[in-house]
Amino acid sequence: MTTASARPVLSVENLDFTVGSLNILKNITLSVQEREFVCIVGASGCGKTTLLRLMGGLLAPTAGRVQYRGQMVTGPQPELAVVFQDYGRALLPWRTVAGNVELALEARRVPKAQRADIIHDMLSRVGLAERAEAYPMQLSGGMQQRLQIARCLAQAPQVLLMDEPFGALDAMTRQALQDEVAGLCSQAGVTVVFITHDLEEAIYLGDRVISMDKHPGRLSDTLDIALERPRHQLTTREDERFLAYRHRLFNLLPPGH
Amino acid sequence: MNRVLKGLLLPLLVLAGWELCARSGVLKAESLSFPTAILAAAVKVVQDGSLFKAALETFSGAMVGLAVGASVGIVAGVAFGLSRRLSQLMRVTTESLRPIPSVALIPLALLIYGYGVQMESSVVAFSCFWPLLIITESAVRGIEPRLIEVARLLNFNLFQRITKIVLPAALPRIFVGLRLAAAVSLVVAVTVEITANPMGLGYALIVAQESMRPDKVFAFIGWIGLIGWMFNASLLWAQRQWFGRMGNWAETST
Amino acid sequence: MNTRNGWRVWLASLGVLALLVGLWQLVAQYELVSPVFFPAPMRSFESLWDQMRGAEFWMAFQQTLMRMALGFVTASLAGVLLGALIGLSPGARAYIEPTLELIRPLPASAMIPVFVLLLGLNDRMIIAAIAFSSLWPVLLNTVHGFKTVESRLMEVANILHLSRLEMIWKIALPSAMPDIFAGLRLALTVSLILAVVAEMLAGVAGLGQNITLAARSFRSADLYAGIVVLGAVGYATNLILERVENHLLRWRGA
Repeated sequence: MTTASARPVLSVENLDFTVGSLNILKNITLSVQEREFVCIVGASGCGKTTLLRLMGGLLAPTAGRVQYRGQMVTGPQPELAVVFQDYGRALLPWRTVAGNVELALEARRVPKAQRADIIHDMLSRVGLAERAEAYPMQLSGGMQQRLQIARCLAQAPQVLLMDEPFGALDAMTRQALQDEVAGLCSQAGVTVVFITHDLEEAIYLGDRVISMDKHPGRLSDTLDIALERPRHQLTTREDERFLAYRHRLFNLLPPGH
Repeated sequence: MNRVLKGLLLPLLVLAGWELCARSGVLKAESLSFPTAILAAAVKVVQDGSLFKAALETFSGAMVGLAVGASVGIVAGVAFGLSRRLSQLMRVTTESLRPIPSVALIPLALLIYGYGVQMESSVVAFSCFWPLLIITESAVRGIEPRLIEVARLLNFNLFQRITKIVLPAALPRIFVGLRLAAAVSLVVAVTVEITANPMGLGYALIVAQESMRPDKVFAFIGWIGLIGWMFNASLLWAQRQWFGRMGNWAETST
Repeated sequence: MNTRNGWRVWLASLGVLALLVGLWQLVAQYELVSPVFFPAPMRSFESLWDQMRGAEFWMAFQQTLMRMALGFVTASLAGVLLGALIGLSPGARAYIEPTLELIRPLPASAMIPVFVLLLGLNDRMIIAAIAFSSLWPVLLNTVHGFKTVESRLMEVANILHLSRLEMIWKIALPSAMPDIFAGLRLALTVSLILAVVAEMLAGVAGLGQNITLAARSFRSADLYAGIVVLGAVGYATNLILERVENHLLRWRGA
């Protein structure tokens, strides 16, 4: 267990979330440190997305609280960028690729003169510099997700909250994006909370993996991942420790998730 | 229940305000009348049979026009749908005729037929033709190709193909087109009556207006709206009854 | 189908129209049908040509178009503004939408007698009637457009802390554009129809009046010419709107 020496960037204390008579989340407590890459895994329906939305201020807790750098999170804010799973719906179809990234800069009130460079920088980081004038509909799924990530990075966020961002993509695209995101996030120095139902993805990407049970959603275990970075799709996944983590998590989660 | 109440609040407020303004003289009652008078007039036209007579006249004009326009539209739609060549060759002709507003044909219909049902139904027919042409053509084009292959395998001739496969397959969407055309037929019939034809609900409107009876004018407007709504609702009900369970069975997944 | 083939098919289609017109010309020339009702196309073209060389025609043309334009533009601006306000506010919608749905099925021309009672038989009445009737398609469609803005995008707007104005201008309005234009196209059709009907009723100078007078005096060639002109007006106005729409919404075709 890492000791919380410095103040955590994001902390959740005794969080409950109930809708009607349905208790979706129960007594969630966790904290995320600066520059940490935390993965949350759990079976479908355990409330991971709800937890993420609570952390991002898109939902208000029924009990408990979410704090960002010591301040209560009462609503969404640009510092807590959210990368949605349904990327198609989170992009503006009437703006070009560059235009979509620019939206974040407009929100930050970046002066017009400076925008072009930043946009080009962001798009290059995600490999979309060539497609700057294309419209989202012309892009493949993987590219659209990259665009969303680029827009989120353009927000100059402190925390990146990613909701199963690769869930709708094919395996090969997923692997490529995993490496890209790992690189981008360490380069940008952002803290990441990454939701997935894919155990291996969680271990591969995370510094720490937290598993969730369902009905109601609650945290069951935390795994510190002591694998070196940068990670490698082949070698890391064959590492003994990787396999051990996998075993451990597999037994934690209910069968057939 | 709360939703219904919220929805009723605005109309009730407007009606109440209208009533008050008219009675207190703020609003000119001679030009606009007021809700209670309109309600009374609405009841009266039912009682003295004028509503029924007018509605019957409008419906006869509308339905005859719908029947003619829709049938020709469906036939043409089937033909265009089955033969892309034909559709393409007729493209310029149809695109030239389509923009003509049906009301522009009223004087022509008047010239040819004089006053009466024929004149009205001919204009209605023109209006109903287009939606059915477009929808039928699209429906026929969208028929599951597998079914067409089946028809070929069974060695159907053209007539059999049309009656046993094409029409039944396209029927749900054609019915939607009919519903649209039916709504159009009523609107156009009333419009023709307002403009030129001395019969039906539209003419009753004009008569009421010319005799400076705003209460009757609004009463008839209300009835026209209600009758139109009931007509559409019953067609929708019929559609659900006949086609509800079967769904759009014959369409390819587009 | 490549473009060269497309050109040829279009030409063939034009040829079909020419053929049909030619056929009509022959039929009329040999008086197989009454020339009163079906004048030879040549005579109609001559009439059109003559009319267009005279100032009277252009006066009427300008009158009709001006009324259409004033009514349509007023209605569109009001409709989009109101529609945005209503569409963005679930609270307002709960109170207002049911009333809107009540008004939707009313035939636009049915309200003309009310305007005649209020304003008399003049230009003001026509423009008011056009504006009133064109308002509803724009309003209803705009409300729908603003109501159905992708919720995910609203969340993005919240995360980015966009101001309300920014959210409307950058997210809600572009998102609602397709719906708004659908409403505008309907409103355009309605305004042409209303312009013609209102002119016929009011007896003021305009294209509607032209064809009414032509029919009354049995000048069938002039009548057909007038119908063609109205069709052309409908076609041209629609084309312009379509071009604007395609330019503003070019991201759709991407």
